[in-house]
Amino acid sequence: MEILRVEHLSKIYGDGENRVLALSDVSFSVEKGEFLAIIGPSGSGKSTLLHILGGVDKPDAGKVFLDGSDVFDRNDDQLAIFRRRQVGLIYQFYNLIPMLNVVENITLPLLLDGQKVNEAHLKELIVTLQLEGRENHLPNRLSGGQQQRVSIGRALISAPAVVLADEPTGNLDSKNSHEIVELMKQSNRKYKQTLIMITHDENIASQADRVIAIEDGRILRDEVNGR
Amino acid sequence: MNIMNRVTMRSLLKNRTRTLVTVIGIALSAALICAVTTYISSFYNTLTENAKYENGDWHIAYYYRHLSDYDQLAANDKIAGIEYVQELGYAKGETEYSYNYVIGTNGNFEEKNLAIHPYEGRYPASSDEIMLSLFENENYSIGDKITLEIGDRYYNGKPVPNFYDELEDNEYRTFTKGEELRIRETRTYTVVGFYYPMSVLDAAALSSHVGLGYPAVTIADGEMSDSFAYDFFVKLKNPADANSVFANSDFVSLNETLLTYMGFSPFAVQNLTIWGVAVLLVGIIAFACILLIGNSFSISVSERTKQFGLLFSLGATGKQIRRSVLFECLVVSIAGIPVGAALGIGAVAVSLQFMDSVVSAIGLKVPLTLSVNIFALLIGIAVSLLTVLISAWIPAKRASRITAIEAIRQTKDIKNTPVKVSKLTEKLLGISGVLAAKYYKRSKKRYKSSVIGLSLSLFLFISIYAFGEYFNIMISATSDVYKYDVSADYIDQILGEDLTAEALLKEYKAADHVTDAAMTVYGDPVSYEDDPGGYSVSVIAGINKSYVTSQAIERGSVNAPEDISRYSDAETSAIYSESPSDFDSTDYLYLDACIVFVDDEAFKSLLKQYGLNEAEYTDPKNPLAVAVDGKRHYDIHSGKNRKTNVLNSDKAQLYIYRYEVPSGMYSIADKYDKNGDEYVAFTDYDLYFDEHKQSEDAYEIKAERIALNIGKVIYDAPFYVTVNFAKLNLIYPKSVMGNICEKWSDKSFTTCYITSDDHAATSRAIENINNKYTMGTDIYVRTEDYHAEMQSGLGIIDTVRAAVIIFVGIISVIAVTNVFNTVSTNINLRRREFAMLRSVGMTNGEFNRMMIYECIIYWLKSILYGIPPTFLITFVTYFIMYQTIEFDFTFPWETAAAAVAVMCILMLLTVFYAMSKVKKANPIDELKNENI
Ligand SMILES: Nc1ncnc2c1ncn2[C@@H]1O[C@H](COP(=O)(O)OP(=O)(O)OP(=O)(O)O)[C@@H](O)[C@H]1O
Ligand SMILES: [Mg+2]
Repeated sequence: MEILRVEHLSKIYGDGENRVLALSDVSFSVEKGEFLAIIGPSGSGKSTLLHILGGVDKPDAGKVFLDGSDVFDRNDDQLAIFRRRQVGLIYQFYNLIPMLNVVENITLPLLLDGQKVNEAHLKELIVTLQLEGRENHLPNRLSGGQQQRVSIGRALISAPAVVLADEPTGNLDSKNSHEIVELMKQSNRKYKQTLIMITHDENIASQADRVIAIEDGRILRDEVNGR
Repeated sequence: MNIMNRVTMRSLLKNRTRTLVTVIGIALSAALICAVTTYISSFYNTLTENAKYENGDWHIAYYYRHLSDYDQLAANDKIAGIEYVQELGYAKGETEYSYNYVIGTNGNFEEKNLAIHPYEGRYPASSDEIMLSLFENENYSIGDKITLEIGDRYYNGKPVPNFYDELEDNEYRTFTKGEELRIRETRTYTVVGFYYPMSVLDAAALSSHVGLGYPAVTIADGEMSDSFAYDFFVKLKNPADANSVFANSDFVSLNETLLTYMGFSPFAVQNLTIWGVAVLLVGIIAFACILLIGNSFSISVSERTKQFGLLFSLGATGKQIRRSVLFECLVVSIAGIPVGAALGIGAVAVSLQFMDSVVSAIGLKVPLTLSVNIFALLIGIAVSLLTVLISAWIPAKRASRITAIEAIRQTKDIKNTPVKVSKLTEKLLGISGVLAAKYYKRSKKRYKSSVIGLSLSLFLFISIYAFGEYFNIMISATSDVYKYDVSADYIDQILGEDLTAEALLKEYKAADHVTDAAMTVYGDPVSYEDDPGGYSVSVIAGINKSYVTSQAIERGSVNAPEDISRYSDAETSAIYSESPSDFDSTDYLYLDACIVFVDDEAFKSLLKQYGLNEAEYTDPKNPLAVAVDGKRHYDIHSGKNRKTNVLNSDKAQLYIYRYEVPSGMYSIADKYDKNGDEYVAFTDYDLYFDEHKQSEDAYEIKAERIALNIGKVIYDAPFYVTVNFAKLNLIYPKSVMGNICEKWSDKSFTTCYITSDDHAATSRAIENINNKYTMGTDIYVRTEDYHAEMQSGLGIIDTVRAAVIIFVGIISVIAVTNVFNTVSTNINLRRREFAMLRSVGMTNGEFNRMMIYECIIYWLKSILYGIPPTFLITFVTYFIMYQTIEFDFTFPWETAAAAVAVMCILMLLTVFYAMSKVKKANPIDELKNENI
């Protein structure tokens, strides 16, 4: 079943001399439960694409359909609600709220949505993320790996249909990055979540169901891993 | 607390200094706003209390009524209470043509509903006791028995109408010859007190009787009866009904003053003015505060832009973001406004203690007391809250408009504009300068608000200071301000062998608390007029047109000969049959001048003050005078208080005229010819008093012309040149007096002017000195404590000054807080960048240089943006004030310079304070803390 469809997406930054065509006529679709890796050289437009999929940036042309509905055919508030319920975004830089502790950061999307936190589910998630005993720590007291695990927790807590991860392991050592990828794959399988991950790591890309390669804002390659 | 508010709360607590500064800013604005509203409510309350004191605490008065009317009023459910006054009638007073008007009140004095206040003694307690007016009853004292034959006034056999509406003009208000008092009854009272009558017309506050004599107040006879007339003073349940209740009756009057101050009058123009001023003042304050607090919020929001972006990307709605900003503003308001309101009320309470002079100046009978009107306070708090809300709303709105990713990346804040850093900067300041310049230029938008904040501080401070200055000028120009505190004047007779004028002056100077003293003798020619056979010297000086400003001619400070008032007598002027056109061509104009001879010591210090050559000014042959020009006067035609300069240059020549008065002759007119010569017409004493004859028998004498040369014109009168009629004052040393005009030294009238730091003590000391010399003689030295005399005038000036100082003070604190806030937040926002710079090896020295350089850029920009509007608004203020009072435009350059300097120091201090905190931190921690 198709969960996500992208049609003729374009994004232009700046104007005049500074004009950059970050995305140019990108189209593809993703099946529910699929693990998609996006690769490409630096500056090719990967992050731009991901941000648009997550509804945090707007395209200059083209459409994104999630679960059959047009993401950008919503007003700002609807878009915010879409972000908080349908997608989980994981940034390359963890982007945690410094004023909030681990638990508060993880549960933030639920709290914003005014939902009750399912304590059992939270506990399970914290155990899975190996963050026990750090529940009340503020982000500046955590290591990079721990911070990234918190941001993964934040992306997963609302059980979104799609998880978007922008080089989640880019700043981590190989052991940590292995653990994190495992974690995300686990969630992907367990909840039949769709996972779209940007990575530079060949090894991670090879674990994905499908790999899209981007260069200069265009899809260069789109192939299913023969596994 | 929801999650957004929790984040807000924590970031407020984390940035404690900034939060505190914001709270202080809010507290100050609330203090200012609440102070204004509390001032007004206190003022209103006092005016209301004063109206109650002067006219009584009632709303409608029904005059000359009867028992049946009382019953009718008592049945009206709109009426809360009625005081009644029985009209007993007139009784002869102390003189044949004065009366006491006997009235009997219902004895309810406790509530002070009627405007009677015992000055001495007490209120009457029974109908055997009486309280009299303090005036016109001098023969009685408390405890005396007084027997009054009470009756009605009749004129031409008809009763004199009593109610004032029936009196036409002032008829019957005073005793009319031929009127009679028809006695009805005789009553005996014990005098128990005296009241201080306000004014004759105010008697309407007590009875229908107006005008003649004062009410004598007793207690009404037991039951109301049909044989007397009564006045009813009615208090309504709701004063707003006053007009409707009033409308359907005759012989009634509204207590208009009271109703006006209570806000229930249809003619409440005064209310409008007072509230208009209040709204304007609150508006200005609110505007200033919105700009300043708004700036503080906008910095806070831009600091949190990234946070907002993140929250956006996690699904927070714009509404949630805006709410969190509003929540922040509520929190700081709750922390700041109550403190500020209390502070403002406290300040008003304290300042009201010093307002006695205002009370006496506007003629209030009750003291100004603090009145915290809940309504006014609520308005103050509401306006403060609104101010904070508006301040927060603008940046919040902006924050919620950008896309999430823009916010996270803060792309809007930093512009990649090409930056040309001058070679000179690079050479002089090295990499520090280059970085600073780039930083400023590339983050223009982000820090525009900083520069705006800084400029605003300058703008507010300087323009309000200037406004205060202008206000001072205005007040001191419109009231005669004496620059001395005590004066003593005497005729030379006091002086003798063992006491010279100089010695006496010296003694004065040594008296308690004296700071300076000078002795002057006026070359007062008028005093010679009644000395036939002696010399006389003209009051009016002649001056050549070429020395006179056109302004002085236009404004009539100088006159053409034919305009001079001494020609007012048509008959005497008739002897000069020359047509006025003869004078038109004259080069000579005439002006009122005053010649002041001051003791040599004071004169020398004046010369020193203006750097003048002593020899030229004290040369006995041809001494130069120091002229005091720029006389202020109220111009009736334009309604303006004007300042007119007569002389157009330092060097000018004046003539005064001296002539010998022939024995037995009387001068009747002066005449000037074209060349500035003066002729004086004389006539015989007998003829002078015999009407119509002098024209033929008058003859004239040419007066001797004495030239006076001016060496220097000054515009700031020394303390001993006091307010007088002259358009120009000439100052000479006393030692040259005889050289200018012999005889002047003979019987001079000397005045000593003394400045003091304790006028009362000095006044006593001077009096003691004088007593020592005048004891046992019939000589009188008049000592006057001018300072005490003009106390009330000075009081207002002092009060206004104090208000301006307080206002400027508060604005300065706001401005300082703002500078601190702006600069420290600016640095806090860049902690990560600083950490990076240090981690790549920037030394502390380079760092400091970069910061100083940046400071200077901000500082210069603030001056650039701050000073021109300040200048403009100052000029506009000046221009508006100039419409009623002429004064020279001055821009407070020194203050502006000081403000600019203080701001620079303040910025540097803040920078180093903030930097010291940054430097203490570990750069790696800072770099890791990406959320800064
Ligand atoms: N706000 C912006 N303004 C102007 N240009 C931008 C902006 N954001 C991104 N770009 C440009 O768009 C292009 C795509 O950027 P993007 O961040 O998507 O690259 P990326 O593929 O994620 O690179 P990396 O692997 O290094 O993260 C780049 O050339 C970048 O310079
Ligand atoms: Mg990227």
